[in-house]
Amino acid sequence: MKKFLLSLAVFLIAGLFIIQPSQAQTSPLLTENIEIGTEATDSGEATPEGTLASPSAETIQKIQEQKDQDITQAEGEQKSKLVRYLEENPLENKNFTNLLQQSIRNAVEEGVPPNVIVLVLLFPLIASFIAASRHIIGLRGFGIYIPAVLSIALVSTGIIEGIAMFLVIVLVALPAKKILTRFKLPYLPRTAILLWFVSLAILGMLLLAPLINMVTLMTVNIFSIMILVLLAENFLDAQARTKPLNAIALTIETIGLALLSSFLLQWENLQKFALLQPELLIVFTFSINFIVGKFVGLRFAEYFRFRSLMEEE
Amino acid sequence: MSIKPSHILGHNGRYRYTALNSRESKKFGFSKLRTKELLKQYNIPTAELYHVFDSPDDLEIINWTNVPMPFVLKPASGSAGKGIWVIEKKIEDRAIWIDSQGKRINEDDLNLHVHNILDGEFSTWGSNHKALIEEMIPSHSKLAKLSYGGTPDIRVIVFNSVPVMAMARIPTKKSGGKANLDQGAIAVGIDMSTGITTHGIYGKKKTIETFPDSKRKVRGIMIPEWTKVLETAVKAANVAGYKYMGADLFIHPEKGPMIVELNGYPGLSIQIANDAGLKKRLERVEGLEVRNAQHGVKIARALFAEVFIDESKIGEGTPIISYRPSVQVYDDKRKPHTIDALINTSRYRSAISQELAEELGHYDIEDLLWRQQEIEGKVPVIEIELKIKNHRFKTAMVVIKRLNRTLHKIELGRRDVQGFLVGDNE
Repeated sequence: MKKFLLSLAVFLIAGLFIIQPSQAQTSPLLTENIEIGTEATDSGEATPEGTLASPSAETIQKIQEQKDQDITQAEGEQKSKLVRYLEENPLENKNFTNLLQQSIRNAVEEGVPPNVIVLVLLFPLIASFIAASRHIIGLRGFGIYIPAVLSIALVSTGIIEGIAMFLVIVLVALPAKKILTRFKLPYLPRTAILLWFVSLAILGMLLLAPLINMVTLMTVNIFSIMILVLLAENFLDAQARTKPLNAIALTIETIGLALLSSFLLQWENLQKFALLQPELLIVFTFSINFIVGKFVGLRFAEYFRFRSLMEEE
Repeated sequence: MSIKPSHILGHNGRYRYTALNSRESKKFGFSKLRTKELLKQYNIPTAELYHVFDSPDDLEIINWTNVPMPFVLKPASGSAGKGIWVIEKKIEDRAIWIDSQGKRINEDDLNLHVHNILDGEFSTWGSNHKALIEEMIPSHSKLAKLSYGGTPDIRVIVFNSVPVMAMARIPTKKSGGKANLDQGAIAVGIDMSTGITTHGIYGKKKTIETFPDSKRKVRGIMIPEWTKVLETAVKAANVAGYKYMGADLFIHPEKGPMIVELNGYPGLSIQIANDAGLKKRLERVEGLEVRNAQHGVKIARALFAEVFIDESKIGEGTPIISYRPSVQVYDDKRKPHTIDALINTSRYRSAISQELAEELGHYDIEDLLWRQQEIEGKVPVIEIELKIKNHRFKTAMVVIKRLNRTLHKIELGRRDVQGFLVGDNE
């Protein structure tokens, strides 16, 4: 009971902080401010352009180019490309088999970004791809969630930059973890200090990015960074549990799966298919998992693992 | 007989068996504490529990110097041996302990480790973390000389109340005294019938002939109290309600086999250690009516016996028997009877006439292993002790009425004439 009251108190205090400003905001001007505020955090690059000294025209253009290639960006070229594609392929006969497509078209006309719709539709396909490679080939990786989300992060950061960032995080976290065991701190503060190290390393990279002219790093969004931190945490955990070589193998498998998935996500024909045939895609992803789940035979990797049993003596 | 891919249990195939376990039983695999309470209730031996930490407040009342030595400090719901501290010695008159790796540990270290366990550093599941202090089980003298540091454990896979496969996990220098295959412990396959080790693997795949630290042979080690090991594993599976599981046991030098933990998702490497497929064995046991743990163990011994070519007898040459040999069978009072037999290699399992089985006193429910489909219908399979030449062994025989009318009362199948040459001049 005591514990319950304590958590209720924490919740109420947190609630106060949220409610207080909104109660004060009776004037429309303030609400507008808040909206602008949220927009600015969504695209972290907006602030440096506005408030700090303006970057060179060349860099701005490079940043824009980067955004244009990135399907996860809500204001890039990718979005208008997909909108155009929808306009070029109008729906001829509307009936109940393409109800979903009709609603997608409506939503896009009203301003829902089509690239987000495509990503939402393709995400379960990515997950199915990872599930199938586990069940039939036997690639392990860190579960299904990490490689699936990582694939979207890699699409956003770019492959080389993403992996480089991951390596930097791991290279900082590994020795940091070793050093921290000497201080004999409890688990949670110890982990918090580990995250302190990781955050400083990322900050360092962000500060270095303009100096070495790495544009992708300059436009990177916070969620991709967080996903890379999550992956690094999984790697460290695996390292503590099994042999170092095994932890590295698991990580490489995870990144490999994420890479293949990110290629799938970026495949233009697939994106277009998702927009024009969403019904087919949905039914396909469901049924493929059903079939994969019914497969009870040996996985490809298991033939290799148990080969000594099958060899004639 | 070579092993086909369809004999091997893979991850996808395992799901079919783990899905048979009830939701209730699976909970035991996630909590060592829950398992302990259950085992205690049914008088199944397990390491004694000295203390449970529910919250950091408990640290104020514990007096570490009063904990009986040696002890183990571990999370209640960890996996893969994470966060287990084995405290072997205490320095007299001082609050300093020595762990299994020779590291010195003081009270602050112990308190910090309890804190970390309660914060969930080592737990794979759940949010209600608990830390346990329990009795450390010393190695049995027969196994102690094989291992480096820690205590070897025995993993037994149980399905449908029948132990189907077993291995010993032996700590090495490289595994830091832990009986964990991922960390470099050695896995040794065990013959279900005799409890004698057969093959050894290192690092989950490499076959080895000798132990890396002691240089002793991997083959031919007799696991102490084998029948009791198997029976304890089956009993634990039954009380926890598991249809398919792996039981981990330690063998205490005085108290005998003890359950360490029950695992609802036992690993598949045990097949490599035994050089045998698990799926084939599971299929043979599925659907059998097993009366109790003793019956289950009997079935396992009859079904999964390895063929040993007795190395000590190789020097004497392979024994020759005629195709109509006289063999000795033992009745229920273990008295030998000489019987005319016929070798029939079209059979796998040997057969015995029903009348002879009745005469020997083996035709009752106690000796029934299982029933098997034959031309005569579903006939019983019973356990028979047999002696051919100088070779005496227990085997399973099909009871057949047809043999009541023939001159020979026993037909020897392929299984029981292995290791013999058949010829006219005996």
